[in-house]
Amino acid sequence: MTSLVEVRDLWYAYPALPGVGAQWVLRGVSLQLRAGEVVGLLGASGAGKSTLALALNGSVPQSTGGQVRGEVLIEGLDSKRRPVAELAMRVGIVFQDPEVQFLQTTVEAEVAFGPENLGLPVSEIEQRVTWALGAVGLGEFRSRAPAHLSGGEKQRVAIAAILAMRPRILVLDEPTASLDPRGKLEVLEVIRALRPDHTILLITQESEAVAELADRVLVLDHGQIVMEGDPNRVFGEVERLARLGLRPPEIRELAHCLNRELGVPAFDFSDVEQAVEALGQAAVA
Amino acid sequence: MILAPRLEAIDLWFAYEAERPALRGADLVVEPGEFLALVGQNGSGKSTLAKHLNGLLRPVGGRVRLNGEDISGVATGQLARQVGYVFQNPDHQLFSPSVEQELGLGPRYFGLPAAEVEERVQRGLERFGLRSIAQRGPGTLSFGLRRIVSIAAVATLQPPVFILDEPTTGLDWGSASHLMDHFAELHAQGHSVILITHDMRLVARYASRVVVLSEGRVVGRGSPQEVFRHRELLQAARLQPPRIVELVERLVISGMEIEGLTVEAACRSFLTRYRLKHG
Amino acid sequence: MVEFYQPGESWVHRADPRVKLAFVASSILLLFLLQHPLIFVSAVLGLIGLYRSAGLPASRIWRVGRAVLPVGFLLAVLRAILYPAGTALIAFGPVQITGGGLAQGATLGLRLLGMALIIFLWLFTTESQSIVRGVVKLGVPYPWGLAIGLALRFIPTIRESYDTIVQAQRARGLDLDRTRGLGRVRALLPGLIALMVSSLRASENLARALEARAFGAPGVRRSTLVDIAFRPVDWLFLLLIGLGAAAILLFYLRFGIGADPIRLFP
Repeated sequence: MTSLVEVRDLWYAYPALPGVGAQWVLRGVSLQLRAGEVVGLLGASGAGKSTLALALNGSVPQSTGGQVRGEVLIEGLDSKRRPVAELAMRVGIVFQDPEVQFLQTTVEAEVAFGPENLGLPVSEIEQRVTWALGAVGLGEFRSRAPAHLSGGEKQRVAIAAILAMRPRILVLDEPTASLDPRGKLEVLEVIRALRPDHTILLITQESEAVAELADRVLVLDHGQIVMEGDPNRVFGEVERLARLGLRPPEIRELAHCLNRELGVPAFDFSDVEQAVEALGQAAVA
Repeated sequence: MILAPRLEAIDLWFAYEAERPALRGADLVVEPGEFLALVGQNGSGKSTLAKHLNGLLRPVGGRVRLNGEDISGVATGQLARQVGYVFQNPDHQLFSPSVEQELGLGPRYFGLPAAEVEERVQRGLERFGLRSIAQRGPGTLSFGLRRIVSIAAVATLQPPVFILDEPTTGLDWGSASHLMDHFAELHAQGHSVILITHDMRLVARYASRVVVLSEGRVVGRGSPQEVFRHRELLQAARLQPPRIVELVERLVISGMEIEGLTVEAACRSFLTRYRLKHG
Repeated sequence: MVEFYQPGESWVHRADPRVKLAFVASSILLLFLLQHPLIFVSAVLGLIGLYRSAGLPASRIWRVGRAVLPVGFLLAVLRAILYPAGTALIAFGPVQITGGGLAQGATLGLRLLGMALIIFLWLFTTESQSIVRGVVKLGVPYPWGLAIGLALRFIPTIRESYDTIVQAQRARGLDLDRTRGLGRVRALLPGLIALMVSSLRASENLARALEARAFGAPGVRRSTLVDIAFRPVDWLFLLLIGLGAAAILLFYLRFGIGADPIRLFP
C-alpha cells in the first residue's frame, strides 16, 4: 500500500506571544496514512490535534508562521512549499464549528465556492455540487440558507463543501463536538458512507465513533504520538487512556471494571452484542 | 451549607425574531439544591430558557419567580448574586488583562471589599489549578484553559445557583470530569446546578433530574432513568442514551437483574449478581 | 440569528443586483440634493410601498425605523434649535423655534430615514453573494467583493457575539441600569475588548476555512456557478431609474423645485 500522507519527525511552534516563550506544539510527530484507511486521532485538549490537521494542507506553517522542523508529504508533495490552495485539492479539512466556515448564504453557493476557486468549468461545478450534496444526503437543500439548518445539517453542508473539491484525503477535525446526539449520528453516517472512496483522518474525542469507524488509532499527547494500533488494542488500555485524559468506549470500560474487581481478565468484549453474550453466559455459569 | 433559592418559570414565551418564537410556553421548576440537566437538540430553547432565570432575557409572556417573588423588577446585576451563568463560548466572557483580574471582576462588580475580593480570587486560583498562569492574559491560553478560567470567574461570585451552558464542549474527558466533579462537590454543599448539555454520559453520571426541551416547550421531565427509558420522548427530542444504558436494557430484556446508568453502577450491579451465583 | 437577507421571489428580489445598486446610488444622491421635507415624506411613503411590494413584513420596516428614528429625531430637533431661519414660532429665551428651522430639521431626520430604508431594502432583498457578483461584474476585484460579502455575512454574527458578551458581563454582576454617560462607556469597554479578541480569533478561523477551500489559488481564473445577466426587464428598470432620476434632476436644476426647504415651488 502507498502512503498518501507521510509525516516525518514534525516539530512545530506557533509564533511566540508576548510574555510567553515559543512552545513546541508538535514534538516529533511521524505518521503515515495509507490509501483507503480510516485513522482515528485522539488526544486531550491542547495535545496538538488541530495543529497537526492544519499541517497537512500547509496552513501550518505557511499561514500561521512560527518554527517548523521535519517534513510533511502529501501524495509526495512537500506541504511547506506547495501553495495551500493546491494542497487543499488533495487534503480536505472540515472544522469543528460549521458556523465559522460558512462563507455564503445558500447551500448551493457554499458548496460551489471551492470548485469556483479552482476555476473549473460551470458544467463541472454543477456536477460536483449535485454529487457532493447527494453524498451527504442534502440533495434537496440547494437553495436553503445554511444559517437556518440544524447542527447536523450544517456540518453535512460543510463536509459537502469540502467534498466538492474532490480531495482523496479527508481530515475531519472534531466534526461532531458541537452537535446534539442526533446531529452526531447524521455526521457519522456520512463519514461511514464516504469511507470506501476516501482516506480519512478523524480527529475526535468520541472514542465510541472511532471504535466503530477506524482501522487504526493514534493517540497524541503533548505533541507526541504515544499510542498507535488497531482500535481494539488501544481501547483495551483503559487505565492508560484515562491517564491521558481520554475516555475509552463505555463497553470497554465495563469489561475493564469487571476484570479489575474480579482480579482476573475474565471479560474481553468490545461492543454491545459481544457484551450481551459474554455477560449472559457468565450469569448462567 | 448553602441554601439555594427555588426558581420557577411559568409559561414563558420569548422570540428573538417575531416570526420564530424560541420559547412557546416553557415551564420549569428548579428546586433548592438540585442538579438538573436541561437537554434537547440544538435550537430547542435550552439557553434561551436558562437566560430567563437570571433576567438576562425578559419574557414577552409568562413569569419567572425566585423564592416565589416575581423577578421582573429586579436588575440582572442583582440577580447575579443568586444565579451564576457560565456561557457556552469562553471568548464571550473573558474581559481582563490577566487571569487573576478576571477572577476578581465579578466580586468587584458586586462592590465587595478589596480583602474579600482578594481572598475569593486566591481561593479560585487554587481550586481550579490556575495559580501558575495567574498573570497570563486569558486570550493567550489554550481553549481548554480559557474555558476553565471562564468557569472559575463565575465560581468566585459564589452564587447559590449555577447555570452551566455546555461547559464541557471542546474539553477532553479528563478535564470535563474533573470540572464536573467540582460542581458535584458544590452541589453536595447545597448549590443548585443547572447543566445544559448534549452529553448524556454527563447526565447519567451527575444529574438527579432531567428536563427535555423541544421547539421551545418542555416535552418531558423525570429522573435520568425515566427519561432514558422513554423511547418516544428520546425520538422526539432527538436524544440518544449512553451506550451502557443500551447494554443494560438489552441484558434486562434477556432476563438479567442488572441496573445502572453509568459504567461504575452497571459494573457494581453485575458483580453483586455474579458473585451471588458463584456463592 | 438575525440576517439581513429575507428570502423571497418578488420582482425586487429578482431584479439584477446592478440595477438595485444603480437605484441605491442614484436615489441616495437625490436625497442629498433635495431639501424640501414634503419630498422626503413622499420618498419615505414610496419606499414603504416598495417594501410591501417586495413582500417584506411591516416588522422589517419598523425595525429599520426603530433603529434610525431616535437619531433622526435628535438631529431634527438640534438642527431646528441651532439653525433658526425666518420668524420665530415659539421662543424660550434665546432658544427659537422657527418654521425654517423646523423644515430643515425635518429634512435632516427624514433624509436619514430615507437613506436607511433604501440601503436596507437593498440588503433585505439581495443575497450577499448576489451583491458580490454584482460588484464584481462592475469591475471590483473578486477578493474585495468577497470581503464585502463576508462583512455582510458576519455583521449579524458579530452583533450576536456583542449581545452575548454584554449578557456575560451583566451575569457577572455589572449593573448597567445604574451607570450613565461616561461611566457606562467605561463599563462596556472590557466587553468591546472581548469582542475584538473573539472577532480576531474568528477571523483566524475564517482564514483557515478560506484556505481549505482553495481560495486564492495562484494562476487560476476563478469561475462562477451562477452568473448574472440582464433580463429585458432589468434594462427596463434601469431605463426607468435613469429617466426618473434625470427628470427630478431636471426640475431641480432648471426650475429649482425641491431646492428650498420651505417653498416647494420657487
